[in-house]
Amino acid sequence: MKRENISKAMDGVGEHLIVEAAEKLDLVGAPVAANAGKKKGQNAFVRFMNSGWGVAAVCALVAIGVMGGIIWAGNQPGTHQPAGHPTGTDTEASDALRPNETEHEAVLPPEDDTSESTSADAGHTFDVTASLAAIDQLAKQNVSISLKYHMTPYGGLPQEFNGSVGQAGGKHWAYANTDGAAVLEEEGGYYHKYVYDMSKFWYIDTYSMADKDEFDRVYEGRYWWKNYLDQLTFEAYDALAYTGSSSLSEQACDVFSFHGAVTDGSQVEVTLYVSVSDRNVMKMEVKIIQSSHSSHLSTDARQAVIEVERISTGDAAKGPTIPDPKWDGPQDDGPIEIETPPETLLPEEPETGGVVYPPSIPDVNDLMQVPLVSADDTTSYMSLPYLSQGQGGMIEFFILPDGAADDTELVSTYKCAFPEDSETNLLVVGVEKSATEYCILYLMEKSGITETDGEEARYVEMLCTEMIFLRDKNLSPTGTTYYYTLNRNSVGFQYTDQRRGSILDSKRRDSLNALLNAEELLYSYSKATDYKYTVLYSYSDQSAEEMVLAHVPELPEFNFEVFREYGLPDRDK
Amino acid sequence: MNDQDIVELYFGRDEQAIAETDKKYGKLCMQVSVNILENKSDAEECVSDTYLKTWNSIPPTRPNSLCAFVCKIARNLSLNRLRDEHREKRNRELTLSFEELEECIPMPDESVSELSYLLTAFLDGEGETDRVLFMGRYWFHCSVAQLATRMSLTPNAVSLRLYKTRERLRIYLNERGYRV
Repeated sequence: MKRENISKAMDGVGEHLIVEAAEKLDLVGAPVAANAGKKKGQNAFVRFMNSGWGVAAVCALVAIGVMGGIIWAGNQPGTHQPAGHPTGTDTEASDALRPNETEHEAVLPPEDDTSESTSADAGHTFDVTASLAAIDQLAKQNVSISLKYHMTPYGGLPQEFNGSVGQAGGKHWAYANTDGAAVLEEEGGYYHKYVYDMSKFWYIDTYSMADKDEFDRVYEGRYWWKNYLDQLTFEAYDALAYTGSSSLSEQACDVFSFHGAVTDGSQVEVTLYVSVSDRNVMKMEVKIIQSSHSSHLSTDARQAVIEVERISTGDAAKGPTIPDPKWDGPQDDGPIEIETPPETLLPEEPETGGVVYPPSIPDVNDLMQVPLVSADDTTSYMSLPYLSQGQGGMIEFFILPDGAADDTELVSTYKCAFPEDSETNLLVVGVEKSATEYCILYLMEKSGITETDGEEARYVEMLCTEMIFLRDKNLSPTGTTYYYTLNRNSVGFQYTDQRRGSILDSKRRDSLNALLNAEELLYSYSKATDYKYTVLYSYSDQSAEEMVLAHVPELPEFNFEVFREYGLPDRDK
Repeated sequence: MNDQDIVELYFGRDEQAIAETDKKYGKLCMQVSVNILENKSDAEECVSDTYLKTWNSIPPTRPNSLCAFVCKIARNLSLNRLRDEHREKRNRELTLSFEELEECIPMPDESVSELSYLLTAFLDGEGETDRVLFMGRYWFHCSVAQLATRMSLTPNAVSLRLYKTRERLRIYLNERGYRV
C-alpha cells in the first residue's frame, strides 16, 4: 500500500518535471520498435537468450573480449579515437568507456539483418590460445582487470552491471544458467528460478521448457558452452591470479563494457569496451556466428571476428595514460610471442564417454544455508554470509549422505570455532566429502586467532596453522561436494561465490578437480594478498587419509604439512 | 507538429492525432513502459492502450502538457499491468527504486496530493542534474546504469547523487512534519 501511494505521489509531481526529465534523458522521440505491435516472432533474441545459448554466447564473448583486449593492449600504442566515442578531453576512464548515446539507443536490430559484420575493418580472427598467452604476459606485468558488462536489450535502455575479474568471461552467469536448467525439471518445465542474475539484463521467465526435447537441446548446448567457457576462464583466472595485490580487489578500476545485439536467431553481434588498468580503452566488435541454433556448436562452426580500436582514456594531446610505473608501455616489437599455453585445468571427461550428470542438483540457495551452531551450542540455521565480523561461535559443517532430506541422516560433522571480537577474517572456502568419507576445509584467514577455549581452540589453531595443498587431479570422489562460503571480506566473497558456482557445476564431471582448480587459484590469490591460505584435511580413518595422501604427488614450493586427524568431531560433543 | 496542434487533432477526432502522438512521444511511452514491464511485447500493448486512453480522454481533457499526459498514462497502465499480473517483484529495478524512495518518503495517507506538492517544491529547488536524475530514477524507473549513460556520469556518481538527493528529501519532508 505504501508503495502504491508513493507511486501515486510521484505521479502527481509537476508536469514540468516530467517533461524536463524526459527531454534531458533524451527519451522523447519516435518509438524504437519498428515492428511495434508484432508479437509473434519478434523475440528471437529473447528465445535465444532464454535458451541459454545467448547467455553462454554473451559469456563467451565477454571472455573473448577480455582476452582479445589484453592481446591488443599489450601491443597497441597510440591514441586513436574512434568516431562516436568520447573525446580525449574526457579524462575519466569510465566516461571514456561509455559509448556515445546513439550506440546505446534501444534500437531493435532488424530481424532480417544478415550482414556479416558491422565493422568495415573486421577481419581479425580471434585466437584463443594467443590471447591466453597474452593475458598471462600482461598479468605478469601487474596489470589488473575488472569488468563491466553493458548490454542493450530490445526495446530497452542499455543495461549495465559490474563484475570483477571473478566474473571474467561471464562464468558466473553461465553457471547460474546451467544450474537453472537443472532446476527446470524439478519445477515442471518453467524456467524462472535461476534467472535472478540474468534478470538484471533480461526478463526471462516467460520461457517455457515444457518440451523435453527442447530442454535436452538447450541443456546440451549449455554444456558445450560451459566447457568452452571453463577452459577460457580457468586459464584467465590462472593468469590473473598472478596479477598482484589489486587484481581481485575493488581497487581495480578498469572497466569492461559490453554492448550487443542479435540480428536474428543465429547471430550475435556485440561491441566490447575494455580498459586495462586505466591505460587503454578498447573497443572490440565481435561477431560469433552460430552454425545452427538447434545443434551443438562446434569449434569449426564458431567464428569470431574482432575489430579492436583504441580509445585514449586521457587527453589525446598527452598521449595514453600510463599510471602504473611497472607498466613498460606499449610494445613496439611486434606481436606478442605466443608461449605455450598453460595446461588446461579442465578435467578430462570420463573415459566411458558422455557427461556424468548427478541424480539431482541441490538448490544453490539451499547450499548457502549452512547449519551453524552458535556459541551457546544452540543449533541454528543461518546463512554463512550473515555471520558478521565480531560474531563469534562455532561453525559446524554437517556432512550428509546424498539425498538426505535432513540431518537425521548425519554421517559426520566438522566444527571450527569462530572467536568473538577477533579481527579474523575467516573464509571457509569449501568442504569436500568423498565416498570414502573425508573432509577438507579450505580456509583463508587474515590474522591469527589468539584466544579460544578447549576443543574449539584446538581446531581453530590447527586451521590457522596447517597448510595442505592437493594437486592430484586423479582423485575423483564420487560423493557429494558441499561448498560453503563464509565471508568477512567482500573480495573474498566475490571470489568464493564464483568458485562455488564452478564447483557445483563441476559435479557433472569431476568435483574435486574443480575444487583443486579453485584451490590453486586461492593459493595464488593468497600470495598476492595478506591472506594466509589454510587447508585442512580431516579423515574418517587411516585408509581415507592414505587414499588422499597417495594422490599428493607433488607439494608446492612452500612448506606443506599434512595434518593428521582421524575421526571427525562428533556433533554432540 | 507541436503539442497544441496534436491536441487540436484529438479535439477534431482526427485519427492522425494518434500517429502524431506516436511519432513524437512513442519512444518516450515505450521507454516508460519497458522500464516498468521489462517486456517489449507487453510494453507495446501498453503503449497502444496509452494511445487509446489518450484518444478517449481528449476531449474533454485539454492537457497542459501532452508529453506529461501520455507519459503518465503509459506509466500508470504499465504499473497496473505489472500489479495485475503479480510480478512487481520480478522487476528488480522497479523494486529497487521504490525501496529507495520508501527510505525517505513517509507512508502517505489521505495526503498524497500534498506529498506530491511537496515533492514538486523540493525538486524545483534542486539542481537540474539532481532533479533529472531523481525523476529518471523514480518516475521513469530507469536503472542507475541507464541514467549514467544518458547523463554522461559514472554509475557511482549517479548513485551518490541520488542518495544525497534522497537524504535532502528526507530532511525536507521531516521539517514539514513527514517522518519516515
